[in-house]
Amino acid sequence: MEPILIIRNLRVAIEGREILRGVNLEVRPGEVHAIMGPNGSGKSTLAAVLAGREEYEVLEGTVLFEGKNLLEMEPEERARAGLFLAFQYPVEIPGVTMATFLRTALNEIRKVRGLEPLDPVAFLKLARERMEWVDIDPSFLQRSVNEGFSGGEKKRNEIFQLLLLEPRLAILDETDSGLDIDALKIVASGVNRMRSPERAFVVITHYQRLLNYIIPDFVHVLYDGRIVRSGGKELALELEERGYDWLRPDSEEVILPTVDER
Amino acid sequence: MNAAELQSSLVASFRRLEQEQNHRPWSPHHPLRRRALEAFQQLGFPTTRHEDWKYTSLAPVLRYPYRVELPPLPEPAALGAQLPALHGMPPVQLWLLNGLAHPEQLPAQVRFASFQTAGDSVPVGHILPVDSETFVALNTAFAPDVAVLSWRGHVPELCHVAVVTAPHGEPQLAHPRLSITVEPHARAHLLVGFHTAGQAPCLTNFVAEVSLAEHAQLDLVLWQTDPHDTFLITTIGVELARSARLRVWTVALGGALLRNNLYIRLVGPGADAQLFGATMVTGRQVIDHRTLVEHRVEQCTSNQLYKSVAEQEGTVTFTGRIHVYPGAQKTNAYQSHRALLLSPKATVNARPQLEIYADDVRCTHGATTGALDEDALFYLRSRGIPESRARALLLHAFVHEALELLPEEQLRQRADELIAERAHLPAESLS
Amino acid sequence: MAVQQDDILQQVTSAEYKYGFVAPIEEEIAPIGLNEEIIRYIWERKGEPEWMLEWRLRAYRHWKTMQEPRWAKVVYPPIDYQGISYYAAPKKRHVRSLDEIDPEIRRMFEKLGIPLEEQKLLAGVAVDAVLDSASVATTFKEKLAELGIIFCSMSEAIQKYPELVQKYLGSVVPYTDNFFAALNSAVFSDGSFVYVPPGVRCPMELSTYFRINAARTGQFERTLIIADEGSYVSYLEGCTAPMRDEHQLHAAVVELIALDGAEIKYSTVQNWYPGDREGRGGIYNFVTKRGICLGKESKISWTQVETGSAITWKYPSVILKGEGSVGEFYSVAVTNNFQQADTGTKMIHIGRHTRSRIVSKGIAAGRSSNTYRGLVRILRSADHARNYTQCDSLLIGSSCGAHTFPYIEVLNPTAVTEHEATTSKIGEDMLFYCRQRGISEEDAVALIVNGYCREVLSHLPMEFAVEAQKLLAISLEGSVG
Repeated sequence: MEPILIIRNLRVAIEGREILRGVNLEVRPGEVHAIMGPNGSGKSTLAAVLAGREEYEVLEGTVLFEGKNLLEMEPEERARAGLFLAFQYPVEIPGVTMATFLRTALNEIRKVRGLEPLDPVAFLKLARERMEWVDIDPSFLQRSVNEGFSGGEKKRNEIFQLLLLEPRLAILDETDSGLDIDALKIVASGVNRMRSPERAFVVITHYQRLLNYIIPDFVHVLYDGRIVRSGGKELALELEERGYDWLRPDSEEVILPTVDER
Repeated sequence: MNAAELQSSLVASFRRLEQEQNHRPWSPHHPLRRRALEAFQQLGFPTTRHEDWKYTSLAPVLRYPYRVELPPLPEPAALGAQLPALHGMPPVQLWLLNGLAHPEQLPAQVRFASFQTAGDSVPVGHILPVDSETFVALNTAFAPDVAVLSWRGHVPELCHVAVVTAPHGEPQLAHPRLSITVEPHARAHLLVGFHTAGQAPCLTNFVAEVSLAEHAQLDLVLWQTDPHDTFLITTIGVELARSARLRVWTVALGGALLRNNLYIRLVGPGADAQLFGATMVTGRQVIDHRTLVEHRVEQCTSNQLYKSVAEQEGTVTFTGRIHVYPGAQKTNAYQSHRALLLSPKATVNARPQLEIYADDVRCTHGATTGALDEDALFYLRSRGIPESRARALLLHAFVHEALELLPEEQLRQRADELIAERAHLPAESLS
Repeated sequence: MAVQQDDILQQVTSAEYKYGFVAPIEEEIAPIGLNEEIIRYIWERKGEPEWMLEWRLRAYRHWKTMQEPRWAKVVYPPIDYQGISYYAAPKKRHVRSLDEIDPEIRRMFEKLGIPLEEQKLLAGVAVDAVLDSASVATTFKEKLAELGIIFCSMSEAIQKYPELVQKYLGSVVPYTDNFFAALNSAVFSDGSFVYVPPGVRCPMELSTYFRINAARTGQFERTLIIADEGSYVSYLEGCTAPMRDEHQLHAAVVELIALDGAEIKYSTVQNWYPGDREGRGGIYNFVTKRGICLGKESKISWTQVETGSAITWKYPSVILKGEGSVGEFYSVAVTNNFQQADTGTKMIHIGRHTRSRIVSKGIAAGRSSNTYRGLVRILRSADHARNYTQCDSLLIGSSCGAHTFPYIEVLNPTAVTEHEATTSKIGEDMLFYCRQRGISEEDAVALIVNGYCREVLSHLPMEFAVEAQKLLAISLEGSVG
């Protein structure tokens, strides 16, 4: 099957500092890829560049999304084409209700998919159903976007949006950070429910914990702006045990004590 | 006498002084003085119809036939003993007596020059244009001297300048003037105290121009605790170059009518200005603070915190403006005026103003007025503190907040004592 | 309301000012210029009683001694007060029933979305339509009359209720108040009059729709609303004007009087022609609006959405005289292109336990200038007065200016005032978040701005809130990207 996403030799800088130093990745429909790596390795930069944040400078490389040049698309065009980012830090928008926000978004996306816009009644029905999947109270629809939500509610709200907008490719940027185990399970079950042969996931995480519940097909280690190792789901366990330092590109198999051993 | 009469009498005095060839410091800046006088004639004294003076009438100030000629000067040494306000303060290193400079022991890295010695190399009007405002024009026309202080390197010692207006039997108008330079990477600590000695009414019209070079730092304390019913108008212009840092504390407790104009210009990226004011008025005192912080370039920060208390028939006015110029992106500016109004005859006026021409900014101002926090009062009383003591404690704490960051221990303590005295808080309550 | 929002946004994708047409209505227009003859001309045309002529002439003579105010942060070339006509009225306007209205006028108001047929109206809104200087139709009069509510044109009120008019006209805004109020007092030609008798709760929204149609005219309407003891009325005001290259002057005066326990809610959606993208044309909107809470426990609430006019100079105010009275001011002011707005409020606390609340949201885009100017004055007598002010400014683009000039004067130690203001740009993070969900940048701006204004919009009656949201989106078109 044709890949949904092809990243070739992607080099990205912010404020003159190179963060991604030649990333290569292919993601096919139905696959779940986990990207792991220590803090500052460039994981969130990769997510931000794929979603189209403008403050990043692409120095070199190409990104194809379903065969189209992703880097030339506006952020909203990427979203409408089916790329979804679950934000690490979801943004609060005072005065704008969740209902207004999401119906506007959903109908924009439906438009490019050639679907009729949903009327308020049909929208509410669909939204309530999806909210149930991630255990969010329907009253949240009348609250301002993310305003006054707890950390866990914000993360679940991101997954709810994923469920509602039904993207082709979902990127989860540290969705597990700050979640307790129950919330983590809810988030994971929401994601798992969406797994299908047509849809792919890129799960960015620092810890292996989330991957107990969202089982990846591939695990990649991003280190200092490059993917230094790829493997199956067992790689995540190895990382959990050994930390990241043994993967440092310039130190061949130097075993340093991990946090736990110290 | 009224404002118009005073104006013509001052113009006449100028003509007289002009003709006195032997008035030595007069000559180097003669053309500038003339320009300033013309500006003064044109501007006249402001009335309350003038937006900048809406809340402060100068009528009680301008009714005296002030003398501008220098009276016989007292000996600085004798003055020290005469001025109770100097009690508990660091030794004076520079006197400005009716505007004339008398240096004492200045720190080694602080260079001193004056009009009398340096002539026309003394910078005048480079930060405050001579024709911009009445009192700047007047000062430029009449200042008998300009004391120049410049700092090079890090000077940890505090430099104490005492501005003294000493009338000699008749109302005196004095024009002290300072020009301050802090050179690149230098750090300066300056205390300017305002005092009067003598019985007759006096008006001190003080002007200072301050220039902070790149990475320079200045901590400036303005000490306004004169116990007499005198009039003081200060105008201070400060220009900050790249990454320069300014902190100003104004301790405004004394005098009959006090007006401070503090104009800050941030002209180099990364410059930062912090202005703090502690004000208490009682009797029929009028204290009026005006600040203008101009963010002329990008990435500068400013912060203003003024705490004021109005008792009896006193009036406090605060007008603070943050002006962000086009292109001054990434500006971060904050301003706050908090006032307590404690008597049915007291007045608080506040005009916090934002004038903003750049979009990538974060500017905030806040202003509150009210009485003491009744809940806090109750809390203290419920712990057995008598009401009057509890009030005093809260009042002191309220004003003190503006001085919390004042680094000079001695000054902070002295200010605390004065505030406590005003709040009727026994000194032993201060910890 | 929320679910309608995106429909609204979809509707406004390409519209510029859509009320800019000129209707071919036959009008009688006064000769250009202003003098005592013109004032007599207006007075005669309107068939007013003798005392009105004196009233007008007194105001005119005072106006001649006055200077145009220049303290506002607005810049405009001198206005030639002798270069405009002070009276224009449709020829066919003396109608006994709505069926007799000139079909052209009817068509024009329909085009504006203001049907004058009562049966077609949204339930609960009575309309007084003012075209140029004259009131042309007032709907639902009889139904209101059953409750003793008077809702008619000012001209009619002068004829039929002279004792009420004489008692209250100019009592809140005297002709000496300011330059534009004096001018209005001399030449005002019509406007709306409302009287709600004691204890009556007006069952429908009363609404006046103002329209400037004729060229080279000014519009000077006068509105007077009296809410007698324990009554309630909600009043709406809307306005549009044709697109013309010249500037047109609008100098209205609105006076509100609330007696004991009465409440007046006054809402405005101001959409006068703002001028084109280069700043040509547009209305000069110099308006004096003031209410007095005369009675104890009375309440006056102003809500305004200001999107139109080349220049707006307007400070809807409340004098809080009655003990325990309440004043409110909720404002959204949007400026784009070369528009200039200097607007805010005055809350004058005289009575004990009076409370006021000010919420102002300014949005500046393009090369516009948007100023909040407000006064909170707590007099010695106002024991336990309270004021809360929140005024926020949003900047869109780096060529506009947003300014905040509050005046806070407190003379009573038991009063508490709180003022907070912030200025910032529209959040990049918010924009990106919306765009990542597929919403275009322009729609995202409209969405975020609407959210930012929600507290103010929520005080508008439903029909107006929807219109206001549309206007916000239209006003900001072309301000991003």
